[in-house]
This record gives sequence, structure tokens and C-alpha cells, in this order.
Amino acid sequence: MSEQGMIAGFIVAVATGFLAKRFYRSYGAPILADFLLKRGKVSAAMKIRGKAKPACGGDCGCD
Amino acid sequence: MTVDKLYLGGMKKGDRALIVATGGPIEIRRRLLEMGFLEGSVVEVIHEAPFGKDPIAVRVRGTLLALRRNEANYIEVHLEVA
Amino acid sequence: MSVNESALPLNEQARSPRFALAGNPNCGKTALFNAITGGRQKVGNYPGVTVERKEGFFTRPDGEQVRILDLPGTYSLDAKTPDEEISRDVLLGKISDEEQPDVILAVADATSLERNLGLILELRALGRPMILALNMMDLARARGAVIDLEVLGRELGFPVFPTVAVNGDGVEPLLAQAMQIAHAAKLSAEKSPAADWKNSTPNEVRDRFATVDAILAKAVKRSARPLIWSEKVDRIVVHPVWGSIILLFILGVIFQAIFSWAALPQEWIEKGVGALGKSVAGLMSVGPLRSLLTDGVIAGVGSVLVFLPQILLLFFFILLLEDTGYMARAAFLMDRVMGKVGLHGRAFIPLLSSFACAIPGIMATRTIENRRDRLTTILVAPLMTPSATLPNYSLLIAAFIPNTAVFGPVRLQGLVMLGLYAGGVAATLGMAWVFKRTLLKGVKPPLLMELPTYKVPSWRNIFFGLRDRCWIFIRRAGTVILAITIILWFVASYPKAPEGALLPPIDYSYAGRIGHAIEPLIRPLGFDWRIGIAFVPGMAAREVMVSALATVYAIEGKDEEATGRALSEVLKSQWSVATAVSLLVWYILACQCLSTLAVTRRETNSWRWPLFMFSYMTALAYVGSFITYRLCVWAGL
Repeated sequence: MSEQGMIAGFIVAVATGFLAKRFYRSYGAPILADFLLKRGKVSAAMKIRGKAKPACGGDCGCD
Repeated sequence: MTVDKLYLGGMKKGDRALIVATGGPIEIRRRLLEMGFLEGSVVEVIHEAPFGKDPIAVRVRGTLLALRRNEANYIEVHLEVA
Repeated sequence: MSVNESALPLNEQARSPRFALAGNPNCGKTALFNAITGGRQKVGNYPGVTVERKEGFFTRPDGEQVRILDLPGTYSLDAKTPDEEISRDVLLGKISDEEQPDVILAVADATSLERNLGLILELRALGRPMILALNMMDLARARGAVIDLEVLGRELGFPVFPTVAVNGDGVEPLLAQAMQIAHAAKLSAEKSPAADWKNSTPNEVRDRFATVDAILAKAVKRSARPLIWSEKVDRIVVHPVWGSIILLFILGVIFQAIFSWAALPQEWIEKGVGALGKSVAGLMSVGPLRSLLTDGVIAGVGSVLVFLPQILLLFFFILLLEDTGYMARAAFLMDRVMGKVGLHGRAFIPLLSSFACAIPGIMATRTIENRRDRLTTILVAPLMTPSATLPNYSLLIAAFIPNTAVFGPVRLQGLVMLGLYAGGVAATLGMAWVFKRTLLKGVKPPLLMELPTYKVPSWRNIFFGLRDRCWIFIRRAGTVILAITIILWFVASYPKAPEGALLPPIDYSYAGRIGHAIEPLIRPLGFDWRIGIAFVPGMAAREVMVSALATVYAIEGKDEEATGRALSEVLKSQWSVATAVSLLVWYILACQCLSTLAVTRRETNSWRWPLFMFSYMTALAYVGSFITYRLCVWAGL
């Protein structure tokens, strides 16, 4: 792979990681937390819930 | 001597009245009271909306409030002679 | 919590005092907040719920930092709505992760004490250290009010300070005293037990106001005269004929301004982006990185940034109308129509503010008590043309609608934009009517809304509001949109075309294949596979559609010239008018925001409703675009 290719690839990977993390925080985490709660794993669920952000989180600028 | 009850919902622009009783289902009644529609307060109809003269804007306890006539009909009043 | 705590070092946070601002709506609380914090604030959410949380901080001359929370304006602490519940719970210290505020900074409108004091008395009953800012004192004095602040303070049991928040008068003495109270409270070190709150009965409410009257009888020598000029203005504004004309005129001005005033700054941004692209291209040889930067990042994100001036203008007008108090009159005028479709009168203003973003509109439904009304409003809120659609509209209008004059300064582009927004409102009303008739039959919701006195707008408020908006827009463009565009670039550039290929390279990429796969579905609507590619990320965030199209066409463009051309020119040469109009209709009706769906899920506590929202809106958009396209083709466009 050319030098340009490597840098470009790196940038793409970072972007993907960023979106994936965001997606997880906004959507994945609450679902996972609810699932854990149902299974009775309260402390784990709470830890995840603490990290979860409501999907807006300043995204569109809720006033 | 029976007097027909008069309600805020039936008043016209420019009418002034004294609130005698605020009724209605508890949620609405509490809201009305909170906003200032208390017994003993004076209420005056300032505006009527276009398209059917509903809703109306009234002044009570120093505030201009808009409400529909059917909501206003929870408020019983005595017409003040101007 | 989503508050940026890096402003204070960790060990300071435990010790820095916390204030909470509480008061009726329209009492100038926000102006006071801005005056105190100088606009240094962060908007976020309370943990677990989507009630908006606004926190700021300020530094005292002695270096002490204080955090201050702006609670939602309410008429009473009796929790009928989540907004009021949160206010009450925060003050009681019942929210986990949220420290109980040390001092309550109550705010009351000096021209309207008979009502404002009701909440103040409720706050007093909480038993927390308190201080009262009597705001709008200038207006009260101008209207002949004479208030004995000492007597008032004595009757209430805590100090009262006059303020004029919009120019900052009286803020310093207020804060100085508040700091003293905070220190004294810290010294006494007692944590008042989390008192329990019971909603008041109607009789208790009556008693409370009787107390208010008694206090006012002692402290107010003369209350403020009613503002006659305000009513005179209203007589025209609310007049059946003049009122509607004024409303239309204002709307016309707004949408016209969005095009004409923004045109010059937009040109600058466009030129800047184009120049940036050319220079980057000149810096490196042909290769993936160069393509990523020019076709992806610069073309993509740049095409969205171009619309910043327009969005700022839109917000400027929204803030201006809100600040002066006109919005409430617009709601009053429109209520008959709103009421007919079963929409809640008080939801109208937040819905109007949804022209900024559907999410505040959805969150504002928290003031609606009836579940069915609330659901209906939530379901139709996204149809109210969120500002993120503005780039989408603007792009197509710029490309396909000529800038001909219609009458006076009004030009066709502005009119079409206004028409599109009107279409959004019509769709909102129409769907609300449908829902109220079918799925969510319910009683007609009450109106009961305050018409605040007209105010000279606070330019400081507006400036801070715009500054926040600008930052939010740029941040979103620089993060989410940038990331999506980068990924899209990758997906649209690879795999590369094989040797001797006949079709343009993009056809062979993942994106191209997906686009071609979608195409049969959308061809009846007049859309091709390129639009199909842009749809996928466009569903996540509206504006991404613009940057996605920019990237797709940039990658596709074979010659160096093409990448520099404005996207609108490219579209004009490639699409038919029918396609453009059909796409516009799609934009009005389609659900293109994952965040909206997520907030809906939160507010309704189930996946059923967001799923339903997505389905009905997609179906609506499909049918709408289909009909539009067929009509346009038949009309020869």
C-alpha cells in the first residue's frame, strides 16, 4: 500500500471507530443495560447506564 | 330570585367581571388557579381570536392569558357594572 | 452527565457552591442566567431522562467559582409534567448524581407579582436557603410601581434584590448576598432532609394566593399599571385581517432574508472551500489520501458548511420572535386551526421552535399532561421542517428555482422556501388530524397559555443563542458529518474498477452496488442510484444528504474541473426538475434523523412508537414523492 493509502486507511479507521463508539453510547448501551437488568445483573447494568448518553447530547443543539 | 350563572366563556371583548368560583376537573382547576383565576380576582376580556372569536385573551391578576372558551366556562363570574 | 466539568478542577467541585435559578416562564430568568454566567453555559440532559439541563458557571472577584443551574420555568412545583417534576426533584436533592443546590435564586417579574409570588411561596416551603431577584424593575418603575423591598423581604423571610437582567443592573449585589448565604449555609453544614412533596389541593392553592395577596398588600404601595400600548399593538396583531397579514408578511420577510442576506457570506464560504480543495490537490500527487481529502472531506463537509449563514439567520429570527413575545401571539392566532386538528395549544410554540430541531419540540411535549395528546404531538413534530433540512432545500432551490422577482423585493426562491415550510406545517396538521381521528382519539386538549408583554429583544440573549447555535452546527459538521462522509468516501471508492471497465469507477464500489440495488425501489420516484447512495447516510442525519451527494459526484467526476464546480451546478446539469421537486417533497415528509427516533424511544419508553414513526413517515414520503414525480413528468418538467 502506498504511503497515501496508509494514511487514508488510518483516517477511515478512526472515523469508523468514532461513529461506532457514538452509536454504542447512544443506542447500544441503553439496550444492553436493559437486557442486563432483566437478567438480574443490576450492578453491571448500572455501570453501563452511567456511561450511556441520551441520543441527543448536544448533537442537534436542543435548547 | 334566581340568577342564571354567568361564565367567563360567555363574555365578550371589553367585559369585566369578578370571579366567583373556579371549577372543573381537578387537573384543569388546579392549572386555572395557578395561573391566577382565583375567586375574588377581577378578569377582563381583552382580545378575541379571529376565526370564531375563540380562543380569548383575558387579563387576570396582572397577566394576559389566552384560553379557549370551553376552558373559560369552568370559571363562574359576576358581571361588573362598568 | 454530559456537562463539561473540565472547567473546574476535580477537588474544587466538591466545594464550589451551587445555585439554582427558579421562576415563572417569561420572568427574565434566562436573561439573568446570561448576565450572571456571561454566556458560559453547557446544555445537556439530566441522567436517565431527556429533560434539558442548563448549567453555567461564574467566577467571583475573589476567585471562587460557582456553578449555577437554570431550571425550566414553571408556574408551580406541583408536578403534573416531567418538567415540573425535575425542577422540584432537583431542588429537593432527589436526583441521583445531581447535588442539591445550596441556594435557590428565585426570580420574579416585578410587573406581575400577583402571580409570580405563587411559585416563590412554594419554593419557600422547600426550606432551602433562598434569595429573590425581583426582575424587570425598570419596567415596573416605568409603569408606576412602588414596591417596598425591605417589607417584602421581611414578609417572605429572605432578601429581595431588584434587578434588570437585560442590562445587568443589580446582578452584583444579588450575587454578593447569595454568596454570603451560601457560605453561611456551608458553615452550618446541615443537610436538610429530603423533604417530601405532596401536590397541593385546590384549596391549598387558593390559600397560597391569599397569602400572596396579604404579603403584597403590605409591601406594594402601588402595583404596575397595565401596559396599554402593548394591548394596542396586540389589537392589530391579533386582528382577524391585519393579524394574518402581519403573520404572512413576517414569514415572507424571514424566508426572503434567508436567501438574500445569506447569499454573500455563502459565496465566500463556497469560494473558500473551493480554494482549499484546489490547494490541497496541488500539494500532493494523485492518490487515496488526496481523494479522501478533496472528494471526501472538503467537498463533503464543505458543502454543508456553506449553509451556516442561512441557518444562523433562521435562528436569529426565531430567537427574535420569541424574545419579543410575538411567538405567543402567533400561537394565539393559529390556535383555532391547531385546536381543530387536536394539537395542544401550548405545544404550538415548542413546535414552532421545532423549526430549529424536532428534538426540543418532542421534549417540550413534557408540558402536555394527556398521554394521547402528547403522543400525537411527538409523532408529528419531525414533520415541522427541522433546520437540518435547510441545506437540503437550499441546495435544490439554488439549483432549480430561478431567482426571479415576484413582487417588490420578494423573489421566487424565498417564496418556494416558504412554501416548503408551509408544506411541512400542513403535513404536521394533517397527520395530527389523522391520528386524532384514528389511533389516538382523545379529548381536545386545553390551551391556557400566557401572552407575555411585548419586550424589546435582548440582543445579548440573541447573541449568545446564535453563538451557541453556530458552535453546535460546526461541531456537528466536524464530527458526525465528517465521520460519515469519510466512511462514505471509502465505501464509494472501493473496490476500484477493474481494468478496461466501461462504467465510471463508482459503479463498482460497495456504495455503487448498494445504490444500484436500491434503485429499482426509488426509480418510480424519479431518483437514481446516486441519490440512493446518499439516502442511506441521509437517514441518519439530514444534512449528510448534501455532503453525501457532493462526495458521490466528486468521486464520479473524472476531470479536475468537476470537483471544483458547485454541487448545485452539477445537479442542475444532471437532474430533471421533476426529480428535484420529487426529492423536495421527500425531504418534507421523510424521517431522516436517528436522534429523533432515539429521543422518541426515550420519551415513550418503547420501541413501538419510533418504529411506527419511521414507518408512517417513510410510507408518506414514498407516496408523496411518487405522486409528485408522476405529476411533474406529466406536466412536462
